[in-house]
Amino acid sequence: MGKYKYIIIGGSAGSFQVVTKILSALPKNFDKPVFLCLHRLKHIRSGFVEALSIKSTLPVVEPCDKEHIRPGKVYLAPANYHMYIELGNYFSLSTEEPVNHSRPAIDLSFFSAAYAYKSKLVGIILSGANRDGALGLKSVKDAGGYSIVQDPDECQVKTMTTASMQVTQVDEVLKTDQIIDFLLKLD
Amino acid sequence: MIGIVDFRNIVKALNDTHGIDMSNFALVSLKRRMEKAILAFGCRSADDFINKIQTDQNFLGIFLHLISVHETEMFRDPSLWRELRDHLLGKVKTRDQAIIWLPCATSGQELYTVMVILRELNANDKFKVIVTSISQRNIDFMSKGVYDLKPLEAYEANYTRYNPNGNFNDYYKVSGKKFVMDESLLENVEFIKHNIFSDTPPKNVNLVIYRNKMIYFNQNLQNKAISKIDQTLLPGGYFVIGVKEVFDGTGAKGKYILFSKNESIYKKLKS
Repeated sequence: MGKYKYIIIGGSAGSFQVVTKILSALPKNFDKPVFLCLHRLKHIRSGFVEALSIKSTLPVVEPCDKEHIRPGKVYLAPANYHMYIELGNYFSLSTEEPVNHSRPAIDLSFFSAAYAYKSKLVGIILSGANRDGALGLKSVKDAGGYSIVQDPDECQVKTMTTASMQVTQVDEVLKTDQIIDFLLKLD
Repeated sequence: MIGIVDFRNIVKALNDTHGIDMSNFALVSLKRRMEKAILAFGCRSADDFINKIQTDQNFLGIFLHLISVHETEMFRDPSLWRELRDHLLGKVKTRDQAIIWLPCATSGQELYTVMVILRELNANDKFKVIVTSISQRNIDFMSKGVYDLKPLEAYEANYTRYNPNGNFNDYYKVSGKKFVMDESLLENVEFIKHNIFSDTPPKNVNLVIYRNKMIYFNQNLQNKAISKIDQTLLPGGYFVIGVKEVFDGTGAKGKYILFSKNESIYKKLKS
């Protein structure tokens, strides 16, 4: 399992508790960067990162444009920007038009991460009420990465996970506790 | 999707044929927009597109418009505009005739935001607003001020957060599926077709609003843009960038201080 070096997680409605639970279960020395692209209110810039930080063992930050990606950090896509991962292991942000009515769009973050990290990437899609992320997860799988969806039976809203399963043969369908076990075994 | 080799060949053809150098643009976003442009030109391959670049007389004008990223919303980040109104724009005296520069403007949302603020301050005659864009089509678009109705609701919501007592619909008229900004808002606005990297910047500027433009450049090109702006921004003037952009002119040897951390407003020191 040591081949996976980067984790990207997408979620929308019903994903906040799941993300919080995952972040609270990771060990302090977890050294793989975790990218979060979660749908959020675009005009509210502050508060989200703080809410996620309360239970997280790792520092949670909203990256600035061109910020370098460091191990052991959780990166949250900032409000009203798309978050891209560039070749060379740094972020760039974008204000291009919303995709799937979303900015940040999960698909766009996932496409860029899949392109940059290929088989070193794990992509996870959680609960959500829109199809954003489905094609993104497919791009992770197609580039040789590992694809996981939260078990739709466990999701508050299952549109996002079932849409993902429709467009790609996902590697695993897991409940939150199993996602945590999976991540812990990566170390 | 175009491969990286094809993409590099396209970038090279643009520079060789038209002198437009995009080799230092942020890759993910440029590649995505390039793919859209290729489709919009109806080209089936990179070679087909390169041929278009080299032979189509009308290529450049259309391309520069297509490749630009539209500004997102009028009154995006309402707290920034409140800060500018209360602490900068509202304090300028008539005799100052301050110059505001909006470089690399694309679709005018920032421009109309500024002009509505000046109108509400009754301060249009205290300012000259210079809008520069590399694309004549973008300039034509901005000066017409015709926008889709769809995002209007978001603009209205932003505006209300900026000024809960005002009415945004004082500044536009609906026409079919579009809304048209009041053309008198543009009274003291000058549009200039301008390449920020190669053309001489406007002189003696007091305020530069340059939000979410440099995110499309790599660090190298960001530094070039900043040095162009620094050349023309007067001591005591202000420089505004996007909330997630980084500007390092404030260090020990820097010429700037952070005027507002939350809103990314920098002030140039009086040497």
